[in-house]
Amino acid sequence: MIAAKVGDGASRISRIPRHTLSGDRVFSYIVLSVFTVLTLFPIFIMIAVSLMPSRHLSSDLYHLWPTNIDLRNYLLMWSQLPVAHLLLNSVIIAGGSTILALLTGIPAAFALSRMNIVGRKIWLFGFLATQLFSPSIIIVSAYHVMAIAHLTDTYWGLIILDAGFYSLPFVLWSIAGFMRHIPRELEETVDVDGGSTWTKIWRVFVPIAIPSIVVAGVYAFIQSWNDFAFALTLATSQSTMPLPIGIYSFMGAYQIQWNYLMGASLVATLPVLILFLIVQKRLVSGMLAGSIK
Amino acid sequence: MKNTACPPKGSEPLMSTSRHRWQGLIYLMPALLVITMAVGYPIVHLFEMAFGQTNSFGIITGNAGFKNFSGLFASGLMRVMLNTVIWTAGILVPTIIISLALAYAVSLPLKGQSFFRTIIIIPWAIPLTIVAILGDMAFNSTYGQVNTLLLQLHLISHPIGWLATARTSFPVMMILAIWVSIPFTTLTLLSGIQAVPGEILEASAIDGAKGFYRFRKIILPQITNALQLVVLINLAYIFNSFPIIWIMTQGGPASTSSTITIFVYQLAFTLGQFGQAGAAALLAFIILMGLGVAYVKVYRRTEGNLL
Repeated sequence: MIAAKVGDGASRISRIPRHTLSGDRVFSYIVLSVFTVLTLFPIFIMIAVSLMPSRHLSSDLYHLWPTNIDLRNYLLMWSQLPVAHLLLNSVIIAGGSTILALLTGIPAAFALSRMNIVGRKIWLFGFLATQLFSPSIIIVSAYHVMAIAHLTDTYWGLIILDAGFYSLPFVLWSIAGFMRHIPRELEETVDVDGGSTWTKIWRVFVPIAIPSIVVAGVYAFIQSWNDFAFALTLATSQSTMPLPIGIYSFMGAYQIQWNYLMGASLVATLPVLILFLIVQKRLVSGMLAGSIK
Repeated sequence: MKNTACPPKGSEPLMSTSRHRWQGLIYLMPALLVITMAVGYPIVHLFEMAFGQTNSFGIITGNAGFKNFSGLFASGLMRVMLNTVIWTAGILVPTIIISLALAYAVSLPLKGQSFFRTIIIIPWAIPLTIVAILGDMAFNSTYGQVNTLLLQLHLISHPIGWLATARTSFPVMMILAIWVSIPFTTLTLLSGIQAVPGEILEASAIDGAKGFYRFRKIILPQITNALQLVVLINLAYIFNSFPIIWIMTQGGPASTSSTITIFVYQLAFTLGQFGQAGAAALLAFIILMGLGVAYVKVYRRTEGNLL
């Protein structure tokens, strides 16, 4: 259970004398149990519907659990819907925007944390302020930028938008925040050797800042993977549609194949769920620092 | 966004010769280029559209003054604004209350603590698009699982068309939005509660503080900073939310369940009224700027060593 790392096991709360806690504990168990049931019910529905055989779907949907489960759905959905292609689109767009955000964000984070560049605070504040906008509002005009650049319905269009809007501000803030605390002596050894600033960034700072870079990268990947507004507007054909938008587009069908859609939804959820469980503790502190969303 | 004329401010003991200060911008350029393309220029263009005459492709063909703004009222701005206020407040308040209870609960030494902490993350870890699609199925007027469950429990006698009118669809979508807002809020408040000094808790217990009294009088005052931060972040996040409403009702019927983000998107991409969309976006921007200023203030007070 990775999540156990949220708090250090020996939380300060444990200094409350136990006998004064009994009422609080009863209350806690009730609240947590209710929330657990309410959270597991949607997941249960997802799994139940994904197991309903297509032949009985229209009648099975009226029940909470299929009359006889069909495990072949998890194989069939790949041929019934272009799940593999949409999944590949998601990986390319999320992976591409993560790489773009890190490659451009790391030197910028270095400049913002280790150099007294012109307008330093204004840049930092400006990047933070971009987070105030909703993607569904930005896309109204970003669509034109992409149309002028002939980037609508391309991977590049979504990669640039996702990197610039969702990821870069967080990447900049969290990596700059980390780099700020790296001791000056390390930098000086490179200065003595006569290395350039680029060498300093990639050879000295990047290896030390790896923990913050990994978290920022995972955050960038999740944000891009979860994007809705940009892909809804820009990915007009299945050739570039990411998986979640693809699943949404199948809801327009005359007879919605909920069993395959729920199977595909599980596929769209699993990678993010796993990444989340791995980094969630650091994400919370990072989000407070770098993002307003 | 080109702010080359900015005067040098608060020079820290970093690299400080003026040549260096300008050279450093080279390292900022690639990131700046991407951000300018994705957000910087679009924001400028949004302003241009708000005061411009636009054709149905969004190309600016002339000057419109404030016509786009006055046109918003005929497009139903007041209803949408009211909806946005109900949406934001109706999600924020329950989210904070539930998250406070959950955060306190998982901070206690309980059996299954790590299990519950994992459960709490789940709503955050499911892509919002998938949450909305799942919600659309579960609240379907005929075969939806919520109807099925309520019928089996004999809580209702016939299926309810949850998403057919705003009177039921708005609360349903708000419940989903509360559900997805809880994880981040709870985890942030939890880190606040865990930072409460142990001595204070011990001392208060000796004085006989227990239960809700201890929570309200001892713990709550200690986490006001964390609380202010999550309120502000949630306000911006909830105000801006889009996928749940777009997927489940598209703001309908007749924009009765529409909020400002849905309104802007619909004006632009459904109705081709890009000028009005720009004007509405500008109104949203002004509201959010107020939030942004408050956020930076609170943030600087807590740990804002970068700004």
